[in-house]
Amino acid sequence: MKELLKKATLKQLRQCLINKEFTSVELTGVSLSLAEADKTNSFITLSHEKALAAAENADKKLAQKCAQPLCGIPLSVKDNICTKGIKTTCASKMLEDFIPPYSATAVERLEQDGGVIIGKTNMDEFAMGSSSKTSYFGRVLNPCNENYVAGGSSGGSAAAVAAGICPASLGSDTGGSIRQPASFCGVTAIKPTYGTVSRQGLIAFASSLDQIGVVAKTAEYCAIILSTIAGKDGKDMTCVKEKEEYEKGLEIGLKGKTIGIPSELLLRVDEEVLTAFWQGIEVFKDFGCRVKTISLPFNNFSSTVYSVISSAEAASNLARYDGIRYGHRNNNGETFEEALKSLRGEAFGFEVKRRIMLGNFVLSDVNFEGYYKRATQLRQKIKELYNNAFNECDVILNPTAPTTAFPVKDGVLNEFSEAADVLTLPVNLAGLPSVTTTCGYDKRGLPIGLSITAPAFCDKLALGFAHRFENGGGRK
Amino acid sequence: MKGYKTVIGLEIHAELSTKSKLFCGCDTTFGQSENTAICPFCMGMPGTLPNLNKKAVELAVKAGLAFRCDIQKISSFDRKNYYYPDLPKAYQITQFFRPIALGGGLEIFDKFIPIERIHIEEDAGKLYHKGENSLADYNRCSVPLIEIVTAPKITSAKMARAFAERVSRVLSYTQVCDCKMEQGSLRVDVNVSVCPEDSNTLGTRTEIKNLNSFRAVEHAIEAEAKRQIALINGGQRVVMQTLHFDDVKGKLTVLRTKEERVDYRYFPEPDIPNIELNDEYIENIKKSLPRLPHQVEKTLVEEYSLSTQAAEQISEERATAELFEAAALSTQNIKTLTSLFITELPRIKRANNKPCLLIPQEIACLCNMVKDRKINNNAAKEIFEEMFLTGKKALELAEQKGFLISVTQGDIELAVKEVIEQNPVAVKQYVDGSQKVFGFLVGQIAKKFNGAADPVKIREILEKALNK
Repeated sequence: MKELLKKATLKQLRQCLINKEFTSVELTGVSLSLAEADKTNSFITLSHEKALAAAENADKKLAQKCAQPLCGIPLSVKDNICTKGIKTTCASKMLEDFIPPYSATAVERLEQDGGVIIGKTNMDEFAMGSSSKTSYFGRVLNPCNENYVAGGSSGGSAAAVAAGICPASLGSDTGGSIRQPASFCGVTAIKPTYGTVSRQGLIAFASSLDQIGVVAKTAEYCAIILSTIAGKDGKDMTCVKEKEEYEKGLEIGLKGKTIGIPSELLLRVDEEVLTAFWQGIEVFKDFGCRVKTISLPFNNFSSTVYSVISSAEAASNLARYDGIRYGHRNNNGETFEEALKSLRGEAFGFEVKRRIMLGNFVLSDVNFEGYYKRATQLRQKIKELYNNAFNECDVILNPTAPTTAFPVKDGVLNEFSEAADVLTLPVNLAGLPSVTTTCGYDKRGLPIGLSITAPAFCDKLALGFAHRFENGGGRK
Repeated sequence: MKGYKTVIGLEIHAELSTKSKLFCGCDTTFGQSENTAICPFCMGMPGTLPNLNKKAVELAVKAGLAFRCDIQKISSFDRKNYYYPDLPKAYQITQFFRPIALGGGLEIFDKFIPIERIHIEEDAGKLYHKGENSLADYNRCSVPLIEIVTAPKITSAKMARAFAERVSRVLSYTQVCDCKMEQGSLRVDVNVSVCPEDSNTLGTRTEIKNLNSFRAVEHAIEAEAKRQIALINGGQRVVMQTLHFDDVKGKLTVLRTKEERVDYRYFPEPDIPNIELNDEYIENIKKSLPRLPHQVEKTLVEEYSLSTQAAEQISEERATAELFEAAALSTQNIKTLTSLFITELPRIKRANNKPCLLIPQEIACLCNMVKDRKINNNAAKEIFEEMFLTGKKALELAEQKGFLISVTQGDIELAVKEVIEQNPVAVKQYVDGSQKVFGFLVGQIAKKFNGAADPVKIREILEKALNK
């Protein structure tokens, strides 16, 4: 069954469940034991009891033949997405013992459709990082090669899917946090258009950039899960998109479609990655796509704009952890201020503190105009540049990351620098949908990702491109 | 305080009369047990998001229109970041960059006091200090407020008090806020500075926070102006400070100085989209506005010839003014009506802390009974109080209490006859031309009815009998 879990499509798994070749309880059991034996450290918490209870419930529904598409399928959820009654730690000492009394809307919807949540996946602390090395619970290794990182911040989700523990996982993406680890681990992922999936229950890092997305084995899985979790929610005023059936009509016609390739985004990309990327482009050419070089001249400032805006929002979002109502607490300090300094000082990791400091710096009275306000103006500029680009092409393609996964033993440069996200973060600044899929491997056998970015709320178009690519020989 | 003038600006915080909080469904009722009206959002739990209460926006627009402000078609929320144990998110959601209303103002003492802005924001919780411990009650977290900010154009403590009272009256009339200062639903911050009378340059200002009575507003400003003038006269300088005023002791204490000023790191709230209002929405709220206190006052003076003072007193509360006007529709006896409202009503309210059960038609009936001399004035006052407390009918009460002047014409004629027979001397004096004894005879007759007979009727019948 382990091999089946790794290789079967969602549809095949569902067929097996319906045909009673095995039950959801059995399937979930296998998934849980794989997670337990996992050497990549992709899980922070496994939820045996709740998962098996959910599986039992799913089996009943399956027996009554009234089961939704996800019924009985084991799934996992990134540990910054709240799960009622299950620890949600954000991979931080600050929330080490936090058990939310509510679930995120996306989780509720997965459960309503019969999805079985086996556990919570490891990540960079508060989703800040590109390696999943900043986790309080230890780094996540790449299942393709354990000497390399899984990427981040949704490293655990990508690793769990790549290792075949579960066919799909919910992650979150603020500057590339779903797409980059998916690319590093050789799986597919979507960061939906901002406003497609409710952020209710997603522990905020940078509210105007955060979006819950899906890591899965294929674009089709991503689409199926997205259909379940997406759509308006009364609990998130920024979630505006009506429900849509993303998995229907994925076989889009590609003939005559124009692919835009932004020349500036290829400048700092490794040669091996570029080679695989161009091979991927050939696949689209074979489908009859036209390829056009376009210009997105924001390389010089997009990372800085991202740093300023995401850190500012993070500084504010993370200020609530004062140890009074929940979260880490110690008994140090005579005054409120002293207590705050002590408990925040010991419960937040280096990277989180760095961003809080940066955020408060750019928001301070004297710096607001020069940093924060300037960044929001440039963010607007990035949106305009994308809008103009989409006048010339249907989708924009670029490598998902400039490199393949970096070695675990690497120094601080890669994981602590937004440079690693330079190809993914502009999409968050513009709020666009973007799908990454695997287009090749480097000589060490590490996967290389190709990103397809579509205009706002054209998530299905991006998924369609990825789906055709995956089924049309693009996927290596 | 010769030689100096005082310059005052007000910031008035008013709790909006919504059933639920500004960003969540929690109950806003005052006085619930500690930490019972709370939810994950107003406790600042991770992953929770604000959901804007539309009724709060409507009430803020209503207030804006009542103060003749320009309602902004696009406004938005911002975060004001600071750490405090009663602020669970460590930021307050407010409108800093783009408030919902700009401009506007009110006339006080024939002077127009401009309002600079009105914005919507959430309240914080409360802290209690018990011995060594500090306890937090989060019930008030995220209760909706508006803040009304005036230009520094108020020139005396009395004017500031009158302005605050007028604002409170408008907010009550429009049912934007219940203005219960003792419960903190209306709170006033004042900015005070002094400068030489002939100067146009404003002096350094200080701020006195959280005044919770109109009296305190007046007294705090007086005390602060005095303090500032004394400083200047003593060769010292006023420094920018935030102060607290103890109303009982009449004392000012320093909360913080400028050096300790907090940098609030304001930035746009990413969790809430802009508030966009169209003309139709604003127009509909405008149409729903009740008459405002100054309009009601004007009506009372013009329609019922009330004095300005009486009109102001009756229009202090919208319900009272409406009761007065409804009663006035069914009686010509405005004199009695006014007197009941000016002297009796406040007395009754003070004496009995009970809800008013008066019915306008019955008040009118009572006034008509006085006019028709079916009861006298003292009886009317007693019946009025009973009506207030019980909601009973005027006639019913008059009968019950035996106040009804039920003496018939025949009864009076008989009594007149008796009195004439019993007082031959007085009758002779009257016939001889003494008007003085007429009053004496009337008194004798009235005595027989214990005051229950209409004196006018008595005079009429007596005069007729004597002139026979």
